[in-house]
Amino acid sequence: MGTFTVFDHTADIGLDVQGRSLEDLLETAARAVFDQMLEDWPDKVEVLDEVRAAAMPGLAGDTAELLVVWLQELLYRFETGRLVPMTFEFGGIGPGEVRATVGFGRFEPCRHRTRLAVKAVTYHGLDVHREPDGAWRARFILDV
Amino acid sequence: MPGEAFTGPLEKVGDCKYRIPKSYKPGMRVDGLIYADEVLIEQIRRDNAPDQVANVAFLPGIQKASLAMPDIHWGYGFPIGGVAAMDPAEGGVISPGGVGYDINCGVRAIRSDLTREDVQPRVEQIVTEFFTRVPCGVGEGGTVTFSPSEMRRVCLEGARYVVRRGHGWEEDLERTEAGGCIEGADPDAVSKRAYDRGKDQVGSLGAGNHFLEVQAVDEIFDERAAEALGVAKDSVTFMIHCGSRGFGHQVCDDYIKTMRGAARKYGFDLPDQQLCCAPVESEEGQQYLGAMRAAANYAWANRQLLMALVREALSRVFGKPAERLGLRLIYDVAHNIAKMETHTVDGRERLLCVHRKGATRAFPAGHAEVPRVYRDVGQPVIIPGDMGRYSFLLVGLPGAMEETFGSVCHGAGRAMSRTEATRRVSGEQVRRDLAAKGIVAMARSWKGLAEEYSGAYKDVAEVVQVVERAGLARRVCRLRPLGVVKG
Repeated sequence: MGTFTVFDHTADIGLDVQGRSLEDLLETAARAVFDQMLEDWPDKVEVLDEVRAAAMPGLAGDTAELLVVWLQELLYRFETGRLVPMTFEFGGIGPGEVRATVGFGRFEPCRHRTRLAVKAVTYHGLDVHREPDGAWRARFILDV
Repeated sequence: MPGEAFTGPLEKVGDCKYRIPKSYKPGMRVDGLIYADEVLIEQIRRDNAPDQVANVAFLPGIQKASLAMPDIHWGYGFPIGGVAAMDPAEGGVISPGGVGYDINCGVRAIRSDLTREDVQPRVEQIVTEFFTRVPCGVGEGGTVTFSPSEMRRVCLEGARYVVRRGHGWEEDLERTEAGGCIEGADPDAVSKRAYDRGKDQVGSLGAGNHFLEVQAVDEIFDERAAEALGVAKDSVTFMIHCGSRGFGHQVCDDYIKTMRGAARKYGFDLPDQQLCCAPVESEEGQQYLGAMRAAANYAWANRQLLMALVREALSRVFGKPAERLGLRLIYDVAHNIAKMETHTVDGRERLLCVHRKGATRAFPAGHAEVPRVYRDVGQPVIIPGDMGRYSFLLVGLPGAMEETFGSVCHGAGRAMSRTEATRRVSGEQVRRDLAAKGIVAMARSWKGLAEEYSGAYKDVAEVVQVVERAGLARRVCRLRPLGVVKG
């Protein structure tokens, strides 16, 4: 399981995420984003769903873009279905595409305490790279 | 490296103006110009915002200067508090990053016949009523669900549509920027995802720095303008700060992608991916304009619905219809938007694409777009401060047209990160501190309340003083908070 830290940004939220693999990075990044939104998480997984996120044609080789579209997909599911991603089984990460079976818990506004509404994952200062030791690292700013 | 203090040049070029010369970075097409005094400029230097002012100066077709208001702080791409006008005739661009994710985030101020004396004993009841009626917080839907065909009408007609469905008064529209509806919205340029995110959220406040406030006028600076705006010392006002919710966020997400491709296609060399853009006249530029206008109209419909809830809540508390409480809209103004406006540059009138990213339109008396009721005093400018101190109403001055494309600041501007704020105070402590000042606060999130505490913001009084000293707008009155609802 990867790790994340929040870095200071005057108006928004900056996240530094590390994972042992790209899959681990994507999972940890998802947990990091939802950790900014929720103080209480759902108790259990209620929905298992296939999640597919694809980069725009022309940006297929861009891992940073892949991270952004992955997080955008999860934020979309939260806003439209109140689904909180809790478990992850990656089915494949190819050029410009990530596929995973995600276990979602249900967010209930009357039961779960919240923190920030994340509007978007921005491209400002966005960086995703692989360290010499093979670990992956991402740095990005959320608009809140 | 994001977040580092700015060490580049900031040359004092006037009473309240600091210039970043275009020689600072190769590629800058114009200077950067920051409106600030000696105190604020030291705060402004502490983060990356001035560098972002310089980055905006790279954008094709930019006119005069990359401008920043005194509430400027570090954003993403554009600084918050940035103004940039592009001339399409010179290949000028439009950039979703110059509008932001919360398209037409803005503020609405409502006057009343109520006095502080009427309201003070009932603040707790009023705030509770607001908190119960107005959906707010993370993951909360709105009060109305629109069908797909109704959503198209929201996109095309904005506040006009919801007023005609009974959620307001015709006069509200006269007192809303652009009449609550920008022409030229294109519902077909909006993705299904945006409709999915937006259809249940109309009439909701959201979270973060969005709020609903009960305020009392505690100082009048301009009696004539105050009378025109319908406020007097100790009269009570209400303020709503909100935007286009998930609908606008998705439109921005979608078009950032489009514009990243477009920036490459048109060969733009940009210092920040978030500044991606396309010529206003290009297919990509026109599509974004159409979608952005649809989201702007959605935001006006949203704030109109929120005001309807405020009127209902106050009617219930005071046992009188809203009309008899004098709950008239003062004005509604956008502070995240791009608009096509005519401005004079080098002695020639030009149609420009004016980006206001955390900046408020401030047209002076006599301008055709100022509502008739305010034509003699200037467009009302609503500047929220923080929930523990005060907010201000101003009116636009001719200086804004001459210098800043008719724009001023949009708020106090953050002085401290959210993490630093929560290190210093807890939400419970903030609520107790506000209560000690006689301010009732209710929030869905304690942590969110802590992040928004007064100390996290600059003193908005200093910000509006700069705007006044620079001749951009004039203070009308100061508003003290009595009660606040946060998401």
